Amino acid sequence: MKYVYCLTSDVEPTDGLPPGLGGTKVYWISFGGISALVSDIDPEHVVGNAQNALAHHEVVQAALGLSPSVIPCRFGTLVANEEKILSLLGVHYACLEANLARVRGKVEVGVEVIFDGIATTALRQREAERAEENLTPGEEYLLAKRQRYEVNRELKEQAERLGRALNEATALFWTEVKTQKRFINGRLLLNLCYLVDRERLSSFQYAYQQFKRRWSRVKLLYTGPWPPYSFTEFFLPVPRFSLDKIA
Amino acid sequence: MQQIAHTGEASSLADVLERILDKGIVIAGDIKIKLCDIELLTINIRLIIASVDRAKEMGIDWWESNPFLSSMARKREERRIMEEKDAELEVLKRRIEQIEGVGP
Repeated sequence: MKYVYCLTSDVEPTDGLPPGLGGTKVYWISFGGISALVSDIDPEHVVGNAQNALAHHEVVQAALGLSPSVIPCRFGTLVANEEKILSLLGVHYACLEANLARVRGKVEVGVEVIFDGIATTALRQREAERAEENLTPGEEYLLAKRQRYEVNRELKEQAERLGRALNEATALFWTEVKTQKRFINGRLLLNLCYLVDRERLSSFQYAYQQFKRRWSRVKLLYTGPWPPYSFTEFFLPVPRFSLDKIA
Repeated sequence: MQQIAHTGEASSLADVLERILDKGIVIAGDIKIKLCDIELLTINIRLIIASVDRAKEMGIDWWESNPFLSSMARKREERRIMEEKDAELEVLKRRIEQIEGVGP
């Protein structure tokens, strides 16, 4: 079977690619200027471990250095044979071409921010109330529930404020942004992913550093540049008919 | 074109996993999608999830019945094919016996 790492455009075959999963040789299967980076692998060897995850990522990262447009595939993408890959590229050509154009010359940059509930005013107020009052277990339970709600609301507001401010501070240098908020053990993780033009990456980084200095009370983490994983989330079914039916 | 170097403050294995397992294009073929008992589309997602236990908790266990991905399913499939062949052989034997019985 063929393990597919990513889809790219305008790429010239090269020997400079790192080995794929299990040390397999990575090569290109191309159709009309769109290429799939693949290696031949037994599906039983496609195991979700750190070694394989890094091998997958290194191939996609290397493709980013060879092509202006890269659509990364999700880990574990297997297609039966070359004919199926060519069918896939042919049938979904317009969709793939549009998405390759969308990410052309761009990379993804991530900014993560953790907001801790301990510092919220809602928590401080509730703790003061609890200390003053002699509460029954039922009242204690309801108060804790209300406190969690208020802390979460305050954390969300803080995250939204920071997200808006960072978006504005870097607005000249990105074309799309995706925001994700997740609660983990009473803390809120804000994840911002920016689609940044490669030519503007250093300007984005400068604007980010300036912003970070102004928001020194918050811990910000910058990651990337990544292949545009967060901007190529879509689903493509493999066609069940053969190549001769495409044209 | 030059390699793109990482300049991040915190790019770790967790960051890599978060991206390669949850994001990126999904290519799939051969899963059965049914609507009101009518099979609309047959595709087969070949996603390997990092934690099989976690996937099972989420009710995702389709690979267990997929002969490409599960050795047990493969054995079951092989057994089913063998049983079919045995049945075919039995039918052929009976037909030969019938033909021989009515022959000259």
